[in-house]
Parts: sequence; C-alpha cells; structure tokens
Amino acid sequence: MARIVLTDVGVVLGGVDLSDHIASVEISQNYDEVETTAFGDGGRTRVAGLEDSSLSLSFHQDFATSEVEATIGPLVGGTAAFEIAPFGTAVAASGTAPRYSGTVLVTEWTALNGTVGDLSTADVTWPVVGQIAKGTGA
Amino acid sequence: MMWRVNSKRLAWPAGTVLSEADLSACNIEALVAGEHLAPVQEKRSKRQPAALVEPDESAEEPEEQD
Repeated sequence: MARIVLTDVGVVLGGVDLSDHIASVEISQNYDEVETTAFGDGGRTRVAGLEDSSLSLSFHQDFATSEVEATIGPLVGGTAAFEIAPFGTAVAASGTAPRYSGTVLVTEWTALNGTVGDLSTADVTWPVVGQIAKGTGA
Repeated sequence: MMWRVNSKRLAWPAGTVLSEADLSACNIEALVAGEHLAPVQEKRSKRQPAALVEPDESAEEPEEQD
C-alpha cells in the first residue's frame, strides 16, 4: 500500500467546502474503556464503551464574504455536519479513498489569533456528536 | 421557500435555486448568515385573471336553415 502525502484533503463543514483555508486535520476516534474484570480473572479485562471522538482543524482566518469567519461564526454553539475526503471531494469514496463523515458540536472558535507578522489561524478541536462514519462507496 | 446559491463553496454552482428539501442536511440559517444562500423572492404575476364572460342571453340564436 502506498504511503500518503496529504496535499488535497477535502474538508466540508455544514455543507461548505473550506479546504483551501485549512492546513491541518485530525480525526480522532476514541472509545470509552469499560472495565469488565470479575472474580476469577487473572488480569483486568475491558470492552469498548461509547464512542467519544473529535475533529481537530487548523483554519486560515478570512473575514471576506462567504469565507471562514462568515461560515464558522454562525455555527458556534450549534452542530454542523462534516465530511473529510483525504484525496479531495472530487474523488469518489472507495476502499482506498475513504470518506469520513459525522456531526460536530462547534464548541469553540478563535476569531482572531496570532502575533505580529504571523498568519492569522484558528485551531479548534470539536467533539463529535454520535459516531464517525467511514464511507468506502460500497 | 426557495434559496439561491451565492457562494462558490457549496456543492451546487452559484445561481442554483434549491428547495428546503435539497438543503435538508444543512443549517440554512447559518448558510444565509454566511451569505452562501439567499432567499428567492417569489414573483407574483401582474396579469389579472381572465374575466368570466357571461353568456349573452339577448343574443339571437342562429336561425335554422333548411
């Protein structure tokens, strides 16, 4: 299997493609660890509990019409559907080009961040509502 | 209610007119706030409905011809 260099990840939030203003993406799928150890077990036993995943993104801030601030600002405090396509939104989902989708709770937003001479960025980590779905086109 | 796409960042090209059903998975309020969508004003026809023509009872019936 070929290694992947990320050059064209598609990121759609609330139906809006903001890929060209995002420099970093992380889909973190986690499950609660539920202990099931009982008498007679020689060691601790565990099963996976509820999924508790999150989506982290690094935005390049842009205050222009229909750009980053105009899109994310109205979503703060609410939920937004997301879709992440590792090879761009134009590539159909398949086993080797999966798409991840779900809903996030937009819990934080940094409208302005940076020091003199820096690019203004906004790094966020939003909790996923429910579960992340992995689409393979099947 | 119909909505016109104003942005190049949606799945539909700018100018596309969408129904609420098309946008069922979207937060329309947020998309309008972000100026991605704008409501389409429904046009009302300026034409008046055609007036009913009452049958003219005084009109003579055509004479029967042999």
